[in-house]
Amino acid sequence: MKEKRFHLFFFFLSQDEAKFFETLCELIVPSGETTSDPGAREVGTVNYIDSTLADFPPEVQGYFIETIKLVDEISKRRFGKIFSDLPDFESKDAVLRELYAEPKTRERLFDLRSLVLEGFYSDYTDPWYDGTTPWKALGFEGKGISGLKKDWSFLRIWREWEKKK
Amino acid sequence: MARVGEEEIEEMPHDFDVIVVGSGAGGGPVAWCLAQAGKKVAIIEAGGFYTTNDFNRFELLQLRRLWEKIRWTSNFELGLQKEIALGMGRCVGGSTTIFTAVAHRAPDHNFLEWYKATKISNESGEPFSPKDLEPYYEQVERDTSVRRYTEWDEGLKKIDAGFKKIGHPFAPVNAFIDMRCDQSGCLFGCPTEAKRGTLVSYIIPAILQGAEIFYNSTVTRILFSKEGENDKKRPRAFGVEFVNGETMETKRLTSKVVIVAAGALKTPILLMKSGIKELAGETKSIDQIGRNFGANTATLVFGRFQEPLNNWILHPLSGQMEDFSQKERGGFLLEASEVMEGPLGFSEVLVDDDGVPMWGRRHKEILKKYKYYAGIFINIHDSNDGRVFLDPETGREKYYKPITKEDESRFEAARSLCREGLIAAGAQETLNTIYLSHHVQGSCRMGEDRSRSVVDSQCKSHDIEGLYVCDGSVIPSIVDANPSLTIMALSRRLGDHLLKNVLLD
Ligand SMILES: Cc1cc2nc3c(=O)[nH]c(=O)nc-3n(C[C@H](O)[C@H](O)[C@H](O)COP(=O)(O)OP(=O)(O)OC[C@H]3O[C@@H](n4cnc5c(N)ncnc54)[C@H](O)[C@@H]3O)c2cc1C
Repeated sequence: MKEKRFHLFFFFLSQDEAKFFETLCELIVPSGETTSDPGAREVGTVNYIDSTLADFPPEVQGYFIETIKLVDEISKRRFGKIFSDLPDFESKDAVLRELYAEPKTRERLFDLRSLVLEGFYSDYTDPWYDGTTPWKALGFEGKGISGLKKDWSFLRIWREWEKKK
Repeated sequence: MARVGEEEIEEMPHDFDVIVVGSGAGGGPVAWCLAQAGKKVAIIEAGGFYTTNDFNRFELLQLRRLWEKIRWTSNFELGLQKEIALGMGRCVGGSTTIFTAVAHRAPDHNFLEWYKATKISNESGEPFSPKDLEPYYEQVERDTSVRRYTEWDEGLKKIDAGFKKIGHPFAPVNAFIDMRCDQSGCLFGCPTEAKRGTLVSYIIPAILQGAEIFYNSTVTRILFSKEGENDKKRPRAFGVEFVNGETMETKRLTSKVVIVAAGALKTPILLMKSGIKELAGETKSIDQIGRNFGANTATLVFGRFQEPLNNWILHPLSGQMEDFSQKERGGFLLEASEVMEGPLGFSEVLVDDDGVPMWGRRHKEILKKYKYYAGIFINIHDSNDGRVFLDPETGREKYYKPITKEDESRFEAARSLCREGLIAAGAQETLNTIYLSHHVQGSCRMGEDRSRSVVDSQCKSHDIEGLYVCDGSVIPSIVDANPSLTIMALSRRLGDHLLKNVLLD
């Protein structure tokens, strides 16, 4: 799928943090075999996450950054590498399962997972994306929404895109 | 200006007769009742003011606008394994803007349980009984167009057929829904105004009667005058301080009466943050704030059928099966059919066979079959053994609500019945979900026994003059029905009480 980013930076995430979320996206909603079966990576869920975190209050931003660090610690302890450098599904899956299994960090697993699920199953796509949308891939038509324009103006990436246009 | 203790307040007259904090099931009816009787009412609501035209089916947008962030219990701190996702609304209309509109009265046996729990009494000092609430139930049912909801979706028809085969047919629910329902769903606000939650039944009518609404406005503390000041024998609530979420401006308003109706998750927190303990001392009833929290904990079982049902299209929870709802008979109530009204909600609640939240390829494949699913909502009669409190170290809100062994066996019995019924209905596979609660109750209970309640049988604080609580938190013990009709009836009753006994001109 063509990538036509209109900016090369993220509003909030550092390159390493963005890589973390890209890895997470692929794990939670993996890409399909064909273009009609997009995963979170293709539709740009990481940009959704970046825009969302950018507008969160500092303490919530801090909480997510802390969570990335925790996941990387588990990953290094178990496999000697940070999460985004893990080679296969099994090891990444094992790290997330450990985050869930530890009662103290369970809520963090839910929060990370929610960010990705929101970014994908809400039907978010990058403004420049022209492939199959998640809802289309699911055969989900909603109700009473045909003809209604989806309002993504609560996301910084869409606000910036509209300005550029 | 006059100094009252450390507080500087406007001299009388007050800005308002009454300030109502929160505009949900507890806040709406009383606000309307008082406004239409000519009282000067302010409604202060943390969430935004959205109305019919704003309610479309874009799940994420509406979740952000209308829902409070999901709060998880911290049961692990009690050495327990299972957590519950606690959900509520955060908008004008409160949780009734996003509720599924099932409108059932509390069954008679609950009133006996309430009396046992807190000695809640009627005006004559007798145990509070169904008769005492009946006129208010009737008024609310009229105000909100409650009717039998018989327009069943395909999912429910199938589920009912399966359950009939195993001897437990479903029955139509009563619902706060008038005939304009186009069955678009409920969880993201009603786009036709057919759903008669407090937004349309009470808040807008209250505004039309002159009530003033402050939305996007979070009350950060209730203002109290201390004992002995202003010739008052007891501490008194005289107003609130709130912050506007957009301008970040802080404002104070004063009133003769303050009614806290911020919901069972937030009311105890607000009382604690307002320094009520420091003010009134460590009385038995003050110590009850946040205790006896009940969740009416729920979970779902989804069945995948052979043909597409597109079950998100319709009003969820149009039928119920109450053969086991009484504690002694099993203690669980089934309602159907529910698929969370969109793929996002559905994706979030799914767990695998070990109870671990799902992700990855299997999860995605299940989502691709979303249109083939129909689900059953299980609510259990659990105990009021939870707690809402402020973490002494971090100052953060915390929630405990144990899922006991007894609760687990209720869930297991209910899940296995659901699986049996769904398979009999033709489902090819069933799926479980996380535990969640949309029916939080009981964290500031009402009753005459001060060692077991926070407010009296008229919702008035045992300790502070002018302070009332009226929302899900006052319910003395778990209701074996969806709670909002009961909360609205209690709110109507409080309106009556204040007019007859407190706000006399
Ligand atoms: C998804 C869902 C579905 C449901 N379905 C049903 C159903 O079908 N039938 C049924 O009977 N019940 C249902 N319920 C439950 C029902 O909606 C609640 O029990 C009821 O609304 C609770 O009333 P309340 O007044 O206690 O709180 P709410 O209705 O939750 O209102 C509390 C309000 O106070 C506001 N608030 C909180 N803190 C502050 C503050 N500090 N300052 C200002 N405002 C504040 C909140 O934003 C909120 O709007 C459902 C609930 C949910 C979440």
